[in-house]
Amino acid sequence: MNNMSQSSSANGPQPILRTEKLRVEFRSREIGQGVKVALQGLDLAVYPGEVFGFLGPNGAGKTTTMNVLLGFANATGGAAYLFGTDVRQPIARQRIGYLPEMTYYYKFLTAEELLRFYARIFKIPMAERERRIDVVLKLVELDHARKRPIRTYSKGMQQRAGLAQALINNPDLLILDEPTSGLDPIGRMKVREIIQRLKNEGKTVFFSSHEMGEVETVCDRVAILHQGELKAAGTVASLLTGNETNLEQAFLRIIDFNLNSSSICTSSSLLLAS
Amino acid sequence: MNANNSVLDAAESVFGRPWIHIVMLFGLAFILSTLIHPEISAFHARRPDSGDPLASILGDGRKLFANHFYVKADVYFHSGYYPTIFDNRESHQTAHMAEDAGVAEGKNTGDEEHFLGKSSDWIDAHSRKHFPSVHTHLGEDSPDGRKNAEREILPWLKFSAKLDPNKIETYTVAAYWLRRTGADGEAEAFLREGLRANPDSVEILFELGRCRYDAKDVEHARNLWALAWRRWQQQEVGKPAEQQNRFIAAAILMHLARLEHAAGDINQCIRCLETLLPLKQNPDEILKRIADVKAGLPLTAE
Amino acid sequence: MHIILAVAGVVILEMIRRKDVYVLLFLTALITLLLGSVNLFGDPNIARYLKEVCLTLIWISSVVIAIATAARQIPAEKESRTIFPLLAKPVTRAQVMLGKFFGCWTACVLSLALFYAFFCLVSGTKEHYWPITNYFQAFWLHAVFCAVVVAMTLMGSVLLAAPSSTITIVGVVVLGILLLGRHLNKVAAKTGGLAGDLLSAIYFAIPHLEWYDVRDLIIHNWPAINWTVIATDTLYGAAFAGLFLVAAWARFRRMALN
Repeated sequence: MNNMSQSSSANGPQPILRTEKLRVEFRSREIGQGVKVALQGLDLAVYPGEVFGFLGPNGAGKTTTMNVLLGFANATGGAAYLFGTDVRQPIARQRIGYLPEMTYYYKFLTAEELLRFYARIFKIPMAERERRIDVVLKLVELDHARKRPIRTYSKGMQQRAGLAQALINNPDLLILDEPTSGLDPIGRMKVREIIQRLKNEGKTVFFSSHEMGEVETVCDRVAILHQGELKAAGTVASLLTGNETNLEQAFLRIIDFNLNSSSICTSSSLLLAS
Repeated sequence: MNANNSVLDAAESVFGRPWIHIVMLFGLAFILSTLIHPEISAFHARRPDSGDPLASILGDGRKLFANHFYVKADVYFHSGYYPTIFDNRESHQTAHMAEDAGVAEGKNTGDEEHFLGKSSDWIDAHSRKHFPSVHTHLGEDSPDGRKNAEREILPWLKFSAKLDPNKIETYTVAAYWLRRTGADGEAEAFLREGLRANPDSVEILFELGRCRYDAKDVEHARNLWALAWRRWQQQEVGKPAEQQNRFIAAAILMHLARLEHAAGDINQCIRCLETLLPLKQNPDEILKRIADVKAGLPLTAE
Repeated sequence: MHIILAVAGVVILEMIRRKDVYVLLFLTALITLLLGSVNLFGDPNIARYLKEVCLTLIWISSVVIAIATAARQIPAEKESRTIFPLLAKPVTRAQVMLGKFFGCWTACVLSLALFYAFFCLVSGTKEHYWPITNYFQAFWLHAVFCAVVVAMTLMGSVLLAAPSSTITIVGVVVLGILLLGRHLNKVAAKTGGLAGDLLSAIYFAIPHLEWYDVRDLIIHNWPAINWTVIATDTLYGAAFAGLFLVAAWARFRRMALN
């Protein structure tokens, strides 16, 4: 199963995001619960220019994987690399952009100031910095609100400001944690459009999502994680079997979701049942 | 019946309107306020210091602050170099500003230059490098070259008096330093303010006498000192000797004696000195002065 | 260094855009000017009480600004989750901590400069006397004091659960040191026994912040402090600030972010 994440041969392009037998354990806060395994032996490889969807139900280990990749959490075993550099080295994060889920950016700053702050971190020269700010603000369609404090932004605008900060260093790899979570349909569409545009520009995008339709639309490959284990990885078409017509059906099969035994019927599962 | 109905209808049409309710409520409020106001005014008048917001907020706690400010004035008198409660305070039992003013009996003992003692460690030693450890009094070489630098103690005395109008020393000390720096009018005004709050204060009457005497108003000064002496007798005569404030009594009688001597009434001067005799621990000195006066010699100051 | 400066820049912008400093400056100015307008026996040149009141208000304000600004930095980053995009950049936690420290300290020094400018104006107008060296020494020692307090607060903010508890505990500690720090050895000597030894140990362990409170230097127009003493105070303050920052970083680098 792990080999399913490898789509290129050893002689092909080198992965820019790679994990090897990544294992993360947490000591449970509840007495008598002992150690909880969040990730067990995860092998992943994401190649330049692809949009990679990282799927899994809540608690599957998606955010933990991202936390390890970004250096927020330490792995108990295995290794993770970005551009061939161990993720524990800050320099590994020089060429990435990250959009976290549900972030409330510095409310007292304007979008322009927020981007200027992040640009200064990358030591982008002033002239280039201002040019990049213009480019990303236009890309995320916040140019008109660039001088407004972020506290006055709607949820969708804040999410796009987050995308802008992730893009300020013109990264080669974008890591997006549920980028459309909590957005209205128009907001989701706008974010999807931006991802599509980035894909067209040849950027590599690694993102987690619960929106199967969205993943199906924009992803070249997907990986499905369940209870800390990689269950499947490959192109959307390669994951579909038999009479499955969409990714959601394949997803439910892969994670062994039994509709009849579930006490909760979501709208999508009802649709599937019909 | 119809007439009755029409009256009721008219009443209903008037009283049913909202504005009439508002007018009626205003009227009622006005009537009630005229009834209540005299009662409230009388109640406030019965309460002591009812007009002072500080007294209302701080209660008796204001006396603590008043005392703090009084000590603060003495700290200023020493240009900030002053013992804390953790240091040897033997040399600061009586505020120096009061002792120097001659309005309080000096009870200071010990070496006032060295209340800190030797430094116990490097932290203590380094700490002392942040302030000049020299015992000075305001007005003795001010680095900013100011005249009447002693006046810097006055705000704290004013605040102290505001907080505790019954703290007599505040008025007498302030009056002395005001007079010393040429503000005789302010000194007398402040003392009169103190006298209003403490009408029987011997100390304030005595200081007021000094003010009048300095203003060459001998008659008025004599009256004030005589009144101070009578008050002292009324307040102190019944008390055991050790509880009597003999310091102020001696000051009054000595000033009266000098006044009479200067006025040429030698007999009255001698009477004052003789009255002073039993109040002094060392009567020989007074006896010598009486002898000097009788011999036509000048009356020396203490 | 550019990362530390960038992080510090955001902290300074935050302080500029919050109302705290302006409110405190306004209150200080209002109280000082009200007290300055009191008629004290008709002498307009009496100034020292006004200097003391103004400086006391400045000290209270500086402690409030230093503690309140530093205490919320790391918790606010965690709460609003801005720590994630920040640490997802090539930024170490040590750089974040140092950036926060320099930001808070610079913010404090900038606000102190405003307060002291007002003080100089009031004092000079009243006394017609400008002991610039004394003013500078008082200002500099005050700034070093703020550095220690900011570092101590940042340490508290990563050790304690909530900003409110950090503010309370650091506030009590700073006030306690300012009032009693100098006298703990005397109390220890008088107490004796185990309690005395404990007090003595505390006396030698704490940062002696009271050294930096040289209000009397400018209230009573004392001669300027020896510059070697100022240099020693600066090094001592820097050492304690460094110690607190290392402790804060040691905790922060292992801290779970969510």
